[in-house]
Amino acid sequence: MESLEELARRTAEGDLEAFGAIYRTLLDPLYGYFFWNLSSGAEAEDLTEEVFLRCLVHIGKYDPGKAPFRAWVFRIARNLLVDHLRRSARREAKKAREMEGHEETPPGEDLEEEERRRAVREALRELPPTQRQVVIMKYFTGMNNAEVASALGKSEGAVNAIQHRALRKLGDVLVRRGWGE
Amino acid sequence: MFERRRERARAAEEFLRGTQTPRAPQPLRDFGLQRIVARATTAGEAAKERRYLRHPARLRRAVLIPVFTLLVMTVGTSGLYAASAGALPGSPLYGSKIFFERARLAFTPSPSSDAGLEMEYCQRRMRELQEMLRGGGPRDWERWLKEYRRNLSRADSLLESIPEAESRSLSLRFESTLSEQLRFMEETLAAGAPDEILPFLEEAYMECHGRMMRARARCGMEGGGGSREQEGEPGGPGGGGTGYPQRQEYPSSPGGCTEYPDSGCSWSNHPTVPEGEPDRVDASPQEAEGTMSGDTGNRLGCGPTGVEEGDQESTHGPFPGRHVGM
Repeated sequence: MESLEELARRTAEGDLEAFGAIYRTLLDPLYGYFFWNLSSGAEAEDLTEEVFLRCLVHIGKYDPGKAPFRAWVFRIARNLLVDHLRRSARREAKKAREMEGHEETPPGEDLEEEERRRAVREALRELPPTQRQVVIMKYFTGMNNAEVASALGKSEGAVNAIQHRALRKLGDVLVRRGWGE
Repeated sequence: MFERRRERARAAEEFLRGTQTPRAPQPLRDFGLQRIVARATTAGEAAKERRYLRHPARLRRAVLIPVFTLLVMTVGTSGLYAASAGALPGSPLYGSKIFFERARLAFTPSPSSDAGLEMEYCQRRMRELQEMLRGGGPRDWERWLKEYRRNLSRADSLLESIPEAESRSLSLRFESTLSEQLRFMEETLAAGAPDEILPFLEEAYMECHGRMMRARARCGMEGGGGSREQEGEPGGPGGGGTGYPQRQEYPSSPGGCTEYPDSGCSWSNHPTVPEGEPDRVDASPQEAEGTMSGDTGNRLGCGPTGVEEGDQESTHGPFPGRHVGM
């Protein structure tokens, strides 16, 4: 299987098949990233599409020597998320309050899974933004520490430390909410 | 305690790993790629344009070129306007001068302003005549006459079209202007205008005279008197429109200078040569006693009192002593 970097190179040369392969590989991780960061599935869908659009338009600027392709894409995703949250901070806060307890759940999911997701979402909300990003990238998008570090502009060591702090805090929160011990 | 927290962290990690992230919705999976590729085509163009303008030199160029073009056009137009202001018929810039005159007419707010402007242009034509008579360079007398007639005709028809209350004062002004112009042309003819320009001067004179008479009628003035009579100067051109006498009758202007009043060298400063005065070098004794006799100041003999019966019955047409081919 071709690496994402190779597919990116081919896309930059105008090979849309290669971009199709990138799309298929990164669609779920990117959607997941936005799903856990936002409370609306529709917004997650829009932002996912926007990330791929920017990726395709600017793929000529990607330099494989500087960062893994996945990290480059998630950096775009993070920047978009920050812009989106900044633009709709007030609206978002109001919406989050409204959505409290009844987040969108894909149809056909079982009740336990739904409960589990709600618990994770609530626990993630209690984390500081950087810890939340690290946890989401690491556990819900399939990125390794190097990719997370590159996407967030931090060192791998720093990401490791942030991850441990985040997990300890999450453990406390989950126990407090009745999900452990 | 510490161990307990590590346990909790491990449990939390397990919990996270065991939580499934929902997959991207089916519509996004099926049609997202097509939509993105379609959008990328237009977004790419827009981004290219933004990138182009983001370059400081290009941005400067994009702003500076229109500004510079506008500046060049403004300076060019102003320069042409200034350069053409003194152009005479026959000069390459004369067309521009007339163009600017007509353009200015397009910006006047009312017909009465138009009429005032046309009068001003008539005065300009007289100054051009004076300059052309001073000689030098090729002169297009036909063009000059055409423009002069056009200005007179436009001013006249505008005065006809505006309300009477407004028209009266303007007509008085027009009459006075034309009266001065007629006098200037008389002086010019008397000073001995070259043969090749005489037909044009005579045409201009006739046109001016006709328009002046119409202006007088509009003001309710007597046709034969005219403003010069009112000013205490008997006679005057246009008194019945019978033409002017032979130019031999006219003395040369003092110093050979025939000046149009507007030019600063007022014609009224010229001494009027009384009848039979010894320094009238051109006038024959017969003429002095005949046409000019008892007609002080009415040297043209075109007023009703200045025309001897039978004078006009000659072959000279409206211009006694001269064939004008009309």
